[in-house]
Amino acid sequence: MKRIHSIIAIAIITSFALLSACTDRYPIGELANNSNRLVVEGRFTNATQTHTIYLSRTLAYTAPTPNGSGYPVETGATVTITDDQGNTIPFNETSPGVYITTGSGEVGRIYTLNITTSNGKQYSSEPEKMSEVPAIKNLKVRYEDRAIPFEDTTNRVAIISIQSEDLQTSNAYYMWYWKSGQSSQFNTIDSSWNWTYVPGRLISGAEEGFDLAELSDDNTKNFVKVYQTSISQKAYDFFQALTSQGNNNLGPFSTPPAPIRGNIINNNDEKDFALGFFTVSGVHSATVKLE
Amino acid sequence: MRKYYLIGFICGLLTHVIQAQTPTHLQSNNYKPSHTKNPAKSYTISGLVKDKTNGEVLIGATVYIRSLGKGTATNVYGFYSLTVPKGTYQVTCSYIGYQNLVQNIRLESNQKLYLEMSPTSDQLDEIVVTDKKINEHITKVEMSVEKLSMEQIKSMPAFLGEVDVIKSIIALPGVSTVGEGTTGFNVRGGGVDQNLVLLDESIVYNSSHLFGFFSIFNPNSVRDVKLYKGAIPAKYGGRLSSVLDIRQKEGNTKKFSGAGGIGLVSSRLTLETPIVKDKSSLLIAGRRSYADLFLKLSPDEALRKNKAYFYDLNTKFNYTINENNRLYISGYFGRDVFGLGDQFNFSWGNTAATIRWNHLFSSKLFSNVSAMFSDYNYSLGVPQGSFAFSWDAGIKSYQLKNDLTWFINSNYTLDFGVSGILYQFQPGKIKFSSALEGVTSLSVEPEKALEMAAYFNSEHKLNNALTLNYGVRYSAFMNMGERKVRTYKEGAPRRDENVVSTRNYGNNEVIQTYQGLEPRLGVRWQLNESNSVKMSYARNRQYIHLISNTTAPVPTDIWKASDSHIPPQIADQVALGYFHNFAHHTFELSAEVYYKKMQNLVDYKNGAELLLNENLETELLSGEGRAYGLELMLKKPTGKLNGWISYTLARTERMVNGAFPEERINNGNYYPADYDKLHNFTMVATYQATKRLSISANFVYNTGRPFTLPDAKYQYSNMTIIDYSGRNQNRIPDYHRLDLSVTLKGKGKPDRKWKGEWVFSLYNVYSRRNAYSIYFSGDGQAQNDATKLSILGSVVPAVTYNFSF
Repeated sequence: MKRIHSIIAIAIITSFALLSACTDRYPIGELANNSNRLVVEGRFTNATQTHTIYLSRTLAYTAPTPNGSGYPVETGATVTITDDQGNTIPFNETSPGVYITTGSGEVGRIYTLNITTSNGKQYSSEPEKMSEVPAIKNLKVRYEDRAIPFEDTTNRVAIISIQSEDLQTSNAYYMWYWKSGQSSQFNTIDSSWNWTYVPGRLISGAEEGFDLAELSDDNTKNFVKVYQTSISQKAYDFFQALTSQGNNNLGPFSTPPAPIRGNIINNNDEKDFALGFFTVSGVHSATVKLE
Repeated sequence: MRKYYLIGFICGLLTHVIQAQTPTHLQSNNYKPSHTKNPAKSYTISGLVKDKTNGEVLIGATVYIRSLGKGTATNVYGFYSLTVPKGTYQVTCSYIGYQNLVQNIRLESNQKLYLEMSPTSDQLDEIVVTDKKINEHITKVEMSVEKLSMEQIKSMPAFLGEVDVIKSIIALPGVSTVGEGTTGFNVRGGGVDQNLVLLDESIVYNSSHLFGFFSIFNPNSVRDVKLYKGAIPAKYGGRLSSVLDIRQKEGNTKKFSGAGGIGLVSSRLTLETPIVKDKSSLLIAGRRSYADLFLKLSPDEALRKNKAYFYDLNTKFNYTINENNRLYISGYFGRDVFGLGDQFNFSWGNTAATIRWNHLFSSKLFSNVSAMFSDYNYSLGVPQGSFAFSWDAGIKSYQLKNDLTWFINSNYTLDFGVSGILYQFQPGKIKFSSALEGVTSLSVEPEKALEMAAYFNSEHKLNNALTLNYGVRYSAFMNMGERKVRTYKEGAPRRDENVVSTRNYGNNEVIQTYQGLEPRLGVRWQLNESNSVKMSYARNRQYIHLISNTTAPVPTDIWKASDSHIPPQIADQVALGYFHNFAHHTFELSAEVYYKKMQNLVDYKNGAELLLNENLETELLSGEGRAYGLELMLKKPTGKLNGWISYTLARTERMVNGAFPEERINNGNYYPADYDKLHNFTMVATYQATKRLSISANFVYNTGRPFTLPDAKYQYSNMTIIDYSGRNQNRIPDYHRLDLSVTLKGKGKPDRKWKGEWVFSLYNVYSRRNAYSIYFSGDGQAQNDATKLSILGSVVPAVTYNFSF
């Protein structure tokens, strides 16, 4: 329904344009500030694989946006995960700003991410519990011709649908990561994976199966791997906020922009919180072959 | 509850104490004593005050007996009643824009006195009444009220020549708007939905045409506009911030007449005719915009299929059954229609209908019974193709009320009455032509609610210096089935996963009741003939809310009833004012300060999804608001040069500080509301150069409205995410604009029926590109600059031809 709102907003702006509306550049350089905050992106799961934590910094809004990994990275930090039984899992910086461990978690344990930056500031995540995740019962592909809005052509898409066990747990939140590739061997979940959450799905185990993703039919991609993961409510809210931040560029007819807060705080300075999120998940994966 | 009874009791007590303690000799020599030692038997003069030329009743005309120092004003139906001792008197009737009417009467029994006044507009050369000893500005108890005559509204330069009631009231102190061409208006820090807009007593739920560029009121059919910004009389209720009471003309009972205009945007025509002379009349008015007709001339077929127009139809029938009974029927129907060929269509509009019956039980007891119907709805959709759908939503209400005025004596008037409104909300239903994920239609459960109120309000003149106006409104609201209502876990945020149970309520079963008292108090202390001090306090409750998460409302916003999760909004406002007239009452100066505290304001969670949401309460937050300010106004209501200068210094802030982090905005601190503008300066002036030529000018300056600036960006999961530190912490550039217009009247001979005039106007004379919004393309590219959108890029000239016959 968000699209409807955009259509209306566009209709309004179009009608304004008929009334000699015009635009000018408006300098905001002196208004915007560079907060230079720490940004944390990381996942920790029960899969026996490597786990990655990315550390970077914010840029002023007015700074040129770098391509891909061009954001300033945070090097030389000490990164560990501690659990509720006093165990510590250390991370090693393998490339600037990328911290890796081969350790993995256990469902039911509570994990905290700890970061000490090279300038001595200490950050930690809120304790995150690794929740149980239902197994993927079935992963299927079907093909459909989709009409393209306002055009008379169609597009053939591969639809990945997923069926799961019913967990009967209340207040469970899930997220799915998926990636397609030519080989059935996939690397561990990192920032190159697609992710989605579906509001209201699998809450209290009520839902059994649904369409997870649509891929444009591309013969070079033969396999799709899907991770079904459990996340905390706070993580769910974070990802929802990321996707609903949306476009805020139509002036008075757009909704107010929302700040997105994660779960990382500075242990000694309330105002110096970090952005981003450290998710802790129980995972279950499956791979399907495209025809 | 107890508190209010106490306030009422104290008011009553105070009244008697002051009455008992005010010695007559303290009164100014300018006044005659208001009661004699041995009062003779009193009689009542009552009747209607009308315009001699067309039989329209005049609202707020003063009827005055100078030798007694007593007077009254006509009510909204043109009726007055004045009770004085037996005797012979000279009764003076005065009204701005009309010649004073003096009539001698010998009062020996209750007497009907119908007064018909002649307009002065045709005799501008003569000096307009400067000897206006009676001065409403000083003497009236009411404060925080603005009245605009249609003459004033018409004389102001208008955007594209379209005379507009809503745009005119924005020029008044304490009234602001988010920006050019946005729907509605904000009064003393109130939201757009906190204004009760009434057209002939019917509620208007959306007063905008063309997304707010124009309003729905056809200037040719409107007679009187009154805006209450505070101290709202107890007879009105249901909104927190203001009442905009618009009365349509009744229709000429003397002769067939008409008026109209041809403008750049729209043309209009109003016809009035007596059915039985002096007894009944009919008015029919229409207006339509015609920019779309030019589209039809386009060689491009796709363009020819586009639609963009609005229209209004107004009608009024009035019938004088006998001298004690009058009947009125009035109706409004208007719509905006947009269509982009076969791809998209969108229309919205209001319907309003009123039946009124004025009845005089006696010369002292006036009654009005009204039945009203209002409807606002919109529909949008894609008419063809595989994505075809249609979507409808709206609100309907049926109201029945009885207002009575009891003119007990010349020092005491009592208003009382009851009202009931039945609301039907249709939050939205959508139908798809082809099944979408197996769904062919979606519908949010409609809501039904009943709002009832009873009130009394008394205006009590204690002595010539002190007049009290006190009253109380009791209102009750019931949200009723048939509906499903959720219960959420206590101590947890309202989220889908915290639902404990869901209950199905049957048809008309009461789901939730809210009720409360709304005390209203006004005090006027007249220091002398040209100085008075006034004070007021009012509490208002609002049970229905416009659900709108955008800075300016859009036509697709829906109305929502208070329910188990959403309590009514409450506002308390105190105001203090000083009123001064000088230079023989040529100038009126007023200064008012106000403080308004608002509770249970509706706000929205970050990223809230409001359209077609079955469980809206999961997206809504409850906030507080405070607004305070100073309003100064210097007005010259009459003369060759007339107009006003106003300045408002104001602050409007909101706070949302819920129990959970997701229920806070700006970390729970106060932040400026979208329409917070610190300085607001307006100048409106009209100069009548000659009999035929007049020149008008408007100048406005105000502080830019707040907006939220993105301050940082970062990368997460291969996406560029923008960080906003706080809501509304920056401001768009200040707004200022000058408009001019020249009105040239035709060489009308007194005996010639047809009167025409040309209005040439320049809007935004010095072509300022005022910022409408500042926005960011958000494409992740270098962002040293934002984009400033201006609705008007240059001066907008317009020409309109108006006529009447």
